[in-house]
Amino acid sequence: MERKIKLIFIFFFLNYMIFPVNLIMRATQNELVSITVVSPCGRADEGISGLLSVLFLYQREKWRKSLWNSGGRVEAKINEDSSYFRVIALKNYWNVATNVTESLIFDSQINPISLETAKKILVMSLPRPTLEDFGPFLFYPMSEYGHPFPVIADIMKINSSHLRALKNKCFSPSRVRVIVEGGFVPSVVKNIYMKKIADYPPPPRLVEPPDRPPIGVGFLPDDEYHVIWFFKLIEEREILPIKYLIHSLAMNSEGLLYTMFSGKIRVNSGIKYGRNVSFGWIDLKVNDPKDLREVFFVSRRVIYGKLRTGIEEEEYNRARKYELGREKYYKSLPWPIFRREWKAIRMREKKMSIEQMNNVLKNFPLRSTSVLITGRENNIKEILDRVSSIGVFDSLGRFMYELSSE
Amino acid sequence: MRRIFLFFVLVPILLSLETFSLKNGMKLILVQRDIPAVFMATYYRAGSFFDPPGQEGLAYLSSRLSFVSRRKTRPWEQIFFLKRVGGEINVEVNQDFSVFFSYFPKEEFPLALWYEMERMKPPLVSRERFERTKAQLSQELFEQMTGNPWLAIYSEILRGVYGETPYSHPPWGYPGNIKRISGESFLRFYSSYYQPGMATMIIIGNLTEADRSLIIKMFSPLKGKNVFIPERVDFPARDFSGNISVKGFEKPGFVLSYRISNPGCRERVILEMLKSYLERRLIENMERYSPEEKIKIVTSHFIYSSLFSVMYKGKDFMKIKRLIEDEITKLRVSSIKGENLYGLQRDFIRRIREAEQNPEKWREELGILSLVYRCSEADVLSRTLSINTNSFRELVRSNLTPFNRATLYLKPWKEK
Repeated sequence: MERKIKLIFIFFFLNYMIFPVNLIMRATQNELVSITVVSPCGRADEGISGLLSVLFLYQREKWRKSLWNSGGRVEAKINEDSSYFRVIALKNYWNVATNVTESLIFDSQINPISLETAKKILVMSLPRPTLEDFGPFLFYPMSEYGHPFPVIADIMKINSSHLRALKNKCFSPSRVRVIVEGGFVPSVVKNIYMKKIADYPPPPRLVEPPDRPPIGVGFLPDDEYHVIWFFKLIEEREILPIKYLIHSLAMNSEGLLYTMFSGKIRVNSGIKYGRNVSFGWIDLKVNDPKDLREVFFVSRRVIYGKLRTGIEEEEYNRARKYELGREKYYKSLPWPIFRREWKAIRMREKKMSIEQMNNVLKNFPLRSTSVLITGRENNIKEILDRVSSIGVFDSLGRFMYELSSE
Repeated sequence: MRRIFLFFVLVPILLSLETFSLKNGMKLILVQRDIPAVFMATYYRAGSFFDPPGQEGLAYLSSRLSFVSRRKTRPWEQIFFLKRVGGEINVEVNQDFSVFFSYFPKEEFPLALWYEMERMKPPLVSRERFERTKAQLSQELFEQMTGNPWLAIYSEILRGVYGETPYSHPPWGYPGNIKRISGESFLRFYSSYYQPGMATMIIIGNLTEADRSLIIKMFSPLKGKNVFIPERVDFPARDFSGNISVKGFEKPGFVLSYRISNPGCRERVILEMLKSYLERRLIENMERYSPEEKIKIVTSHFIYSSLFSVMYKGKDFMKIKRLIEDEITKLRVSSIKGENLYGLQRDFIRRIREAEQNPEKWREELGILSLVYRCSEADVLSRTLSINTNSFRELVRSNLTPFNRATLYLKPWKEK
């Protein structure tokens, strides 16, 4: 028994020595290999809108032939202040995955032809922004954090020097964290380790979010009628209570808002809710523009009231059961990001009782909540008599002007 | 060498799959995976093909109404139960089949299975609820049709490609026709098509022997019947071209669609390969075109037919159309290069491997390609490896011809 403990201890010690913090590995009996490069750079660090997307597409274009011959695939995601780039390949072609990720980190030469193609591909597949993406624009208007969705004119401006600067800033070896997963061969790790990706401490956030009052009520001209409540999550301990609060308010069949607006919001997908790293949201889709005013004011009263009183024990238990179920679902999916996130949340949850949660909710600042309303301009005017001003946005997330009751 | 490879790849997959059928005609496929959640999909061999003329959308409405009350459950109780435990259920209706896809934690397996079993029994729906659901559905459809121009274009393509056949309307029907559906035709549809005799259930998860016997114990008493399914005839060939102008498209463009009737596993695999091949070729040739234009290639597979469509909007749309047709002609005459084909094969194998790991993708990739009645996963893998340049050319020669084609020109929309 003692020998076993010793062996485990030595194993962990060696593991730490060979693979320090920034290199995370998990061997599975999988036919695939995935290598993920995580960076603390997001939209806030881009400078020019769409620059990070161009970099990722450029990387894919540069290695297109070898990816194409090996059947490999690239996927990437960009947040406000973080992003990841992942290569997935068949186990036999693991060297393609290492080559692509290595060249992202170490190779500073830019191939102009691949760059032009990457720009064109991005323009051809410009993502359609969803309403949930408007959170940063409400809380950080006119700042780096709330900088608008990619525009064609911006993307066409990008040249190789921009790309090189971004690489040095965000994907230098000291900035990245590498996750290797799948049925890989030890030499994959050796290959990366030899070039010393992992000799640095975990990377910090590059741009701090600005601390300024948000736009309390935003408006987006649209054909559909929505009222979307946003909760800004700054501290880590806020994540779980806000998640439980959203659950108790918006859950189908049992949520407070769901039962309250049963005739007024759409039957199918009338209420949506979710959370990402920095925001939680509740999206109410209203049937009739006449009900927009009522839905807005009543939901405001309910949400502010709930923040004051906190959640009840029954709601807590219900949300907890739901969370456990979701956790199992995400654990069934193959890639590592979800697992790590869920592990962290479980750790927090073990420490958090319902009293602690309610404490956090009671101290949750009202300036960390904001609302976006979509509809026609004449519908919004009814709301103006009880709200001092409404900020108007365009579909790219740019702040246009302010409507006031005067 | 290839045989040895096939042996090592296929044997483990075949061992983890178990297929059997019950006395009432229900087919079951159990897949062993070491995961904490259970993924369950019930496929019915019935879709919008069976909609009577004038009542298009019957299958879609039935799928919506399948969650109303039974003798022991309240309306929408199954959905609420799954939501409560952190799971979810989704419904998809196609021309040829309908899927009820759900996932939930392993502990809830017996109860979730019981709800699914209850759902398979005949529904108890009041006249008032029936009328209300119809009204809601047609309103939702109307909103979607006006908000999303692709829906209008898709239904126009179907009309163009399939002519006067049951495939010619979209699976969700038309808002006006949904209002016309009678209660009798709904009950008739449900009792004859959404019943265990027409169902195939796939369960993926960490299943024990007790779970297996529970599944058999629960679903065996259900009454199922054999329903005569008419043979899908090979539709008359036609070369269709038409115009459409919809709100949301301010630029001219085109949609080019080819219909492939009665495709087997191999044809489906080749079509998927063809899609990624054309995408790559177009990107290579893209430098000639201005970047504001968009190209989209879509393959959709039903049981008895598949659709291969290219959509484009921009100034030089005729040039692009010619380019695509040239590319297809080249494939028809001299076929694809060997090295490109190997790349495509590896790409496809990677996709299957990914789907195998991720049960949600399983539904997207294998659910349609392989698990629906025709071919198993092992079949797909072996067929992928056995494809050569000749078989590629054969498919393109026999199916991507002008006689199976529909061209839709998009006219720029002008506000009146």
